[in-house]
Amino acid sequence: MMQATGTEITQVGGLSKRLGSVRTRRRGKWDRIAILLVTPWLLQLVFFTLYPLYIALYGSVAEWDILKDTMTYIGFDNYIKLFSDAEFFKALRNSFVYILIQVPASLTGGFFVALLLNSSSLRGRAFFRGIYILPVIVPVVVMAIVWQWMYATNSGVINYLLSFLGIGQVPWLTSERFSMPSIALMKVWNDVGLYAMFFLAGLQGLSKDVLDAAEVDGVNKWQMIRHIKLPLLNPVVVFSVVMGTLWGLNIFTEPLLMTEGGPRGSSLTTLLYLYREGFIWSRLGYANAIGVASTLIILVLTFVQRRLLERSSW
Amino acid sequence: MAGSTLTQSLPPRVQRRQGQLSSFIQHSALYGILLLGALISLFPFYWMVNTSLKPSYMIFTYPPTMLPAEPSLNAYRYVWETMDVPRSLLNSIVVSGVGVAINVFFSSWVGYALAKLHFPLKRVLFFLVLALMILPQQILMIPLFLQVNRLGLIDTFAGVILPYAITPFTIYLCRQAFLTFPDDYVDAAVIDGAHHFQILLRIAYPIAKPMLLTAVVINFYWSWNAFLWPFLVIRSDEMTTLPIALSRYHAFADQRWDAIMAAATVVALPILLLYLAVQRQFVDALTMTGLKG
Repeated sequence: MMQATGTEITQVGGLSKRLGSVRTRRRGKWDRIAILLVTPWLLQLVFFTLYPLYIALYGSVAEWDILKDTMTYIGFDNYIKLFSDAEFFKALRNSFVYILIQVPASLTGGFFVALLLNSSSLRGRAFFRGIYILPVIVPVVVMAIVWQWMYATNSGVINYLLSFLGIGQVPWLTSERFSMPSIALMKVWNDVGLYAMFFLAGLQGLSKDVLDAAEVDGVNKWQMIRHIKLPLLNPVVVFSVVMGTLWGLNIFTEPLLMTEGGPRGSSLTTLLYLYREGFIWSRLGYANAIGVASTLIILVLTFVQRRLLERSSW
Repeated sequence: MAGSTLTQSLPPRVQRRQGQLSSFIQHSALYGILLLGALISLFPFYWMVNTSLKPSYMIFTYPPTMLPAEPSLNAYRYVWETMDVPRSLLNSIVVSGVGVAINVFFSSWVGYALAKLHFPLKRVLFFLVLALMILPQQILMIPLFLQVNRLGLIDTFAGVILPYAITPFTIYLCRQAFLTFPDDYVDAAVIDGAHHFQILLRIAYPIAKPMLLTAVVINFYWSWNAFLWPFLVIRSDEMTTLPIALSRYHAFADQRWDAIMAAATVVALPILLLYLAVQRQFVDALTMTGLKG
């Protein structure tokens, strides 16, 4: 798409046209230097991506012995075990609970903030943007720990502030019912600024002509947002939903540090389960099967989302 | 909206005043909501620092004091004595610095080849870049760990850096950057007898500088804040990066929240300072990741 600019310029000047033809005359020959340029990457790719990927796929249908460093083919036993493993489905369910709360909430919040930040009369846009993005800047570990402390049932500041609204002590991280939604809520706080940034960039890229035309036609503010801006921002929405889902299914640090997946597995995620099986219990073959299976689920899910959202007319 | 019919029947001066009033209300609402949002965004940071300044006996007092009643730096002193902050900071700098340098350096080579050169399998390689960008990392977790183990790189900087040394996303960014200038520049330079490395250095890098800077910032940010992979590979305390050190300290200083919050503040500080220094690039870089799709 961008290469088009190159050819256009070639067609403009006589000199560059001649230079452009040099390339066509040399067709059939190729730039040997490319081998050198891509070799470092290819080496890394083979060692740290392609070979491990092969091991992952083959290993998921094999029995592993780490001590002897051998793998023997056992067919789909790992997967059969996986699909009758209540713990795995619990982890999947938790991840979906997280996504269903976190993605819509932070997208809506982000869109709303972006609309506000995009108001033409606003002064100090950079200032607000700078603050809203702060939660994304610091390491996840920091905010997971801070929120764990704020969520504390008896001595936490959130329950203290809520007590003014007459809300009793909420067991944020210590009850099966709230643990996953609490983590999702924290991540909403974390991501609103990021999504706002995406939407703001989208809004600023909208054609002034279209918006002016709509205004001339007497479109009110709500209609403008709902029927003009939102449909035009569909690519940003699709991207955000897909990325949000992807990030959501990879959630690991927060439950590890805030709840250790508890209480009673209520905030266990697939990645945390993989970690536990593989690195705590050393069941490498099984942990690997979890990784392969959840990867397939992620890929299918994001593919379906893309398809559905790209077609939908808002 | 309901007021619009009303305003039409009023004399112009009143109309104007009413317009001013409603725009004043709108303005106040706008700033009010934005300020509230800013407060919510900042509050956890405030609470982190606030707690870190409390003397340890006041941590669990209820109601919690919203302002530090008897501010003390004891928690920081305790962290300094019990956590090797300089070492972890150094480790983080090495891991992120070296990692980003390798990444942008070699990714720009591949990006250049994909954008400007002709060679067999070019499309296959580019497809591979795109495919790997969306490959969830879960699938590689166990095999990658075994691979790093087999190479004897567990608990080494190389083990942390190498598996993610050259990332498809950075390659993609570089390719896009190099596509923005015409192939003719390359052809002309080749005719003048320039080598492709010279072209890269003299033409491609200067033109693509903003995009390369973005790549540096975003990779540094990812690498600096990375948790899962370093968490798996790093074993000894001497090797911990800041996030890993903090997660260990969190377990070590069990329930001493003043100390944990002090450690969190210390760990958050370097990247926050960097953010304040190059805020524009940070925002651009983060937005860029949102626009790549």
